[in-house]
Amino acid sequence: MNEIDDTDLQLNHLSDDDRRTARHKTSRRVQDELEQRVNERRKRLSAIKTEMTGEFSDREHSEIELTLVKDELAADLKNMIRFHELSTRLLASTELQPLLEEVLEATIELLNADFGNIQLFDQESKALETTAHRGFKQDFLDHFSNVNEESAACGRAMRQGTRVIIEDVKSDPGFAPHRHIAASAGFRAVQSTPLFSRSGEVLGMISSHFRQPHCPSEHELRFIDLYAHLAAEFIERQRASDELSASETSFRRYFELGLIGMALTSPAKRFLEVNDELCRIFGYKREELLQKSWAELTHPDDLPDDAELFNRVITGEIDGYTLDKRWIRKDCQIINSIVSAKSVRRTNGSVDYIVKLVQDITERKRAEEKSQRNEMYLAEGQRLSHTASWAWNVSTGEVYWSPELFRICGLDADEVRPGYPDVLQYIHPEDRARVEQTFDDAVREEKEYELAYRVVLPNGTIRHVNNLAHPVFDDNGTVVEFVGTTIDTTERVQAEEQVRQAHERVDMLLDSIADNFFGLDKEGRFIYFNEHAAEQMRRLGRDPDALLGRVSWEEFPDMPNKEDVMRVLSDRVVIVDELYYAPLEEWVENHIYPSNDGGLVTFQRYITQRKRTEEELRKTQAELAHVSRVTTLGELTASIAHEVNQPLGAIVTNGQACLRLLASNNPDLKEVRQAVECMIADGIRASEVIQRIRRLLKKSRGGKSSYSINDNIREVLALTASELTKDRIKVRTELADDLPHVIADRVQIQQVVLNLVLNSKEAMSAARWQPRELLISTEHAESAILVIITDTGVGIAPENRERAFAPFFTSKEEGLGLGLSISRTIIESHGGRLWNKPNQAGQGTTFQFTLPIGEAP
Amino acid sequence: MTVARIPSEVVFVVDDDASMRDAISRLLNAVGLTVQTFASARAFLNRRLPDVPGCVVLDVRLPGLSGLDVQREMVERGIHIPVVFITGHGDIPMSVQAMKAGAVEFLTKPFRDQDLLDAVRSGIQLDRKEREERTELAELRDCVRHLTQREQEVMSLVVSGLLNKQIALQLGTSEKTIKIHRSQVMRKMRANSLAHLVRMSQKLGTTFH
Repeated sequence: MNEIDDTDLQLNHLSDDDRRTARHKTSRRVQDELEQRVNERRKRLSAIKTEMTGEFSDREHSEIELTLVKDELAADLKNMIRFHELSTRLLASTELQPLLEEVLEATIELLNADFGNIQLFDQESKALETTAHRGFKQDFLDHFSNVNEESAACGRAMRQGTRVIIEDVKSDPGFAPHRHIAASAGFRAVQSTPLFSRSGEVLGMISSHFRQPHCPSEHELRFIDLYAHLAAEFIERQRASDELSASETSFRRYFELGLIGMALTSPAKRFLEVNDELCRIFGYKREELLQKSWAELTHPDDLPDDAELFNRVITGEIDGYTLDKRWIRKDCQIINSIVSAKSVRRTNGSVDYIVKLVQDITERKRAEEKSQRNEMYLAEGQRLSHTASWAWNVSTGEVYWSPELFRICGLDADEVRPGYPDVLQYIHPEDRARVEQTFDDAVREEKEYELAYRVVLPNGTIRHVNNLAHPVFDDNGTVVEFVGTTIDTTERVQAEEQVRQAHERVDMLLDSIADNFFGLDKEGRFIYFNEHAAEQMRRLGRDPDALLGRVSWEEFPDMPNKEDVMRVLSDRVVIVDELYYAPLEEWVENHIYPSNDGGLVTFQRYITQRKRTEEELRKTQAELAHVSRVTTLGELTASIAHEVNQPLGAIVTNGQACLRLLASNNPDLKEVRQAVECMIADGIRASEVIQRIRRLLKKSRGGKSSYSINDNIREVLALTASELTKDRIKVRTELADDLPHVIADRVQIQQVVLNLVLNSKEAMSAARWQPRELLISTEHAESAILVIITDTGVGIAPENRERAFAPFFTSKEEGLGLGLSISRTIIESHGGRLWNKPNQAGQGTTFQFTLPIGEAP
Repeated sequence: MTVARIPSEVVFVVDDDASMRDAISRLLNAVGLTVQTFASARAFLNRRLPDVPGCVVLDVRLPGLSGLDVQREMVERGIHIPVVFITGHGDIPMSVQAMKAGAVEFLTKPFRDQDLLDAVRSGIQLDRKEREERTELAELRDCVRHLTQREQEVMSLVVSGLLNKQIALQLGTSEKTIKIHRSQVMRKMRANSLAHLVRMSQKLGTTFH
């Protein structure tokens, strides 16, 4: 306790009174504080005292405890020793039952229990079964013979997987069903500790029972755990051992059964044990094999792989392997096998021996290869033919797709496992509903189906496929699976499309032309009509569709060009003909062509109009020619009159002379007779001239005859003789002898010659001071007759030489100017040519024309 | 047909048509006419014709020359024979032309024989007459040649109707001289009367003056 001084109170700066007050207060305060401090001290001291008392008692306690602990430790030690001894001893032994009994004993002793038991968990009944017990009577054992419910402690512990302690069975509600047994057995408390396998599985239960309500201590329970652990280990070991011997037994049985070649081999690759089957496979006797190592029998090509795997087993990298390998038998045959090898190791991990299973698959291999080949062929066949197969198992939903099917759909077999209805996603959206519907119907009705649809590949391309599927039934008539074939018809569809389009184009083309187009095959059957041809058939009252495939000349026996059609079919020539087809009342022009397929095609055109026009034209031309002739004749009027009047005049004068002679007294009769003879001659002459004129004037009906052109020349010269002499034109002729005949219209050709001669005359009349000479010659030139008419007239200007043949071209004041145009038409219609050229020597023009030589009828 | 003796008249027939020639010749012979035939105009024109009255029957259409050309050429050659044209066709313009050029007749075949004969006769007559006239004219001319210059002058004045007195005055000589000349003229011209002399001088025409 410190002195309280002023400085503490900080009284220095106060006034005296204040100081006084303050001091008063202060001293009161000081007193209070002192009291407080003392109290505190007192408290502290008492606390310390308490502490010390506590410590002291603690120390006492500790000492007591220490003693207790010592005792405990001693007990523990003893228990531990016992435990250790037990476990060591027991580990060496192999019988489980005695082991469990000893463990039980130990635990009872440990816990100071009155009774106890060990139960094992039975795998089959899934219940605990008592295997060892102490102190229980039969009724207890019967009651708890098979526990798998939770009311009893053990059951509970098993279910919960933890230890269960029931301190007082009477007060434990769950235990109620068993109280009477407990009472009968004489226990009031129980503990059940589960025995766990290394994997945590409940193997059994160890229980201890107490007459009095009791709960074991933690300490005790720890030991129980140890024993439980030990017991569990024993159980496991036993189990393993049992399993091992069981498997060994079955192994042995299996070994001898001979389903498969089996051998036990050493790490040195030697045969330790072989079964009969292996001997049979290798063709060796048992004794022989046991002398050998399997490496010796291995096919040299397969040995490296086998050895490598074997080494890995030896090193512990792997425990076993399977491989295909070939062996060489005693008889040197090579066999295929599958070998499975598994090592059996010792506890230290080294290989004790190796079990080998050898399956002779030679036959199977061959079959496999064949099957593989077949599959390959099939796959190849599928690939080449763009077909693919699939199968869908109805019950499992499993789907098989052949490789080609993946390819068709553009899918990777590794990535996709298509099944129904996933597969729908690969189908073109527009076809999906239909495909789905068809498939569902087929499945429901168990019928086969055929579907054509499109698939869309992942890259977007579209393929056409044709799917054919049928159900497969088992013996009971139930559908097992659907099996189908899918054909990639893309190319075919595309080709068909192209063909269809090409056909369409051809059809369009053929329909657009105005002709009728027919196609016949090599038997003369109709294979095609274009629209116009079909129309024609309908006009005739026939159905074009019904006519397809029928022979044309059988359907139309009065077909006018039947022979032509047959000739085209047989001789493969092109024929163009014109004929009148009465049923249609039309003139028809046919172009018939042989076609590549051995048949023919015909283009047919109605030419009635054309024919009419041609006829009209011919008529008009004839009229025109006639008009021209008449006009030409008009030019000859003077000379005609002269020609006629000459003989007529002579006749009259002679007659009159006769009369006068006869009137005289002594008529000179001789003179009279002469006169009369002259008259007759002149009369004939006159009529000849008339005839000539009439012939010229006659309207030519186009009748052709065979005659010599020289006749025409002479006739014309006779007609024009007086005209020509009047104009002082000297006429010279050089007409070939034995000139071949022409087949021509005599009147028309005469008209031509007349026209040319008159033109020449005109030309020469206009030339005043030239010698006027007309030369007409005929000659045989190759396959034609050539007529040349040369004059010495004024000639034709070069620009007019061709124009001269144009209609209405004339240099005369009178005249239509049709002469040359009509002449040319006439000559050309006879198959000849008419032209002019200037004379090389001197003045004038030469006109020439040719006519083809006609065969004399 | 040529005739041996000299006929009193002759008809020339020119036609290229033989039968026509023959027929016409026959006809004319039948009436006693002498005929000479020619096939062409050229033949006819080149021939020395007998100097007797005659005419020519000429076909208008002849090779080479037309009838009209022949007519013209005859004139040029001083052949004054009358022409009778015959033709095979009636060509009016030609006929008109022919007639204007002095043809006697233009007949179209077949013609009536009488027509031809009449035409021929009148042609011959015409030719005779013309011959006579020509002869007469030749004689007159001959007479005139014998006249002196003065006599010719006097003659022309006398026939113009002037009195001697007037003529003398005009010529500058006396009346009596004129009278002398006058009588000489009368004598040489063999005129009977003044009227006769006038006729003569008319015949002489312009050739006289």
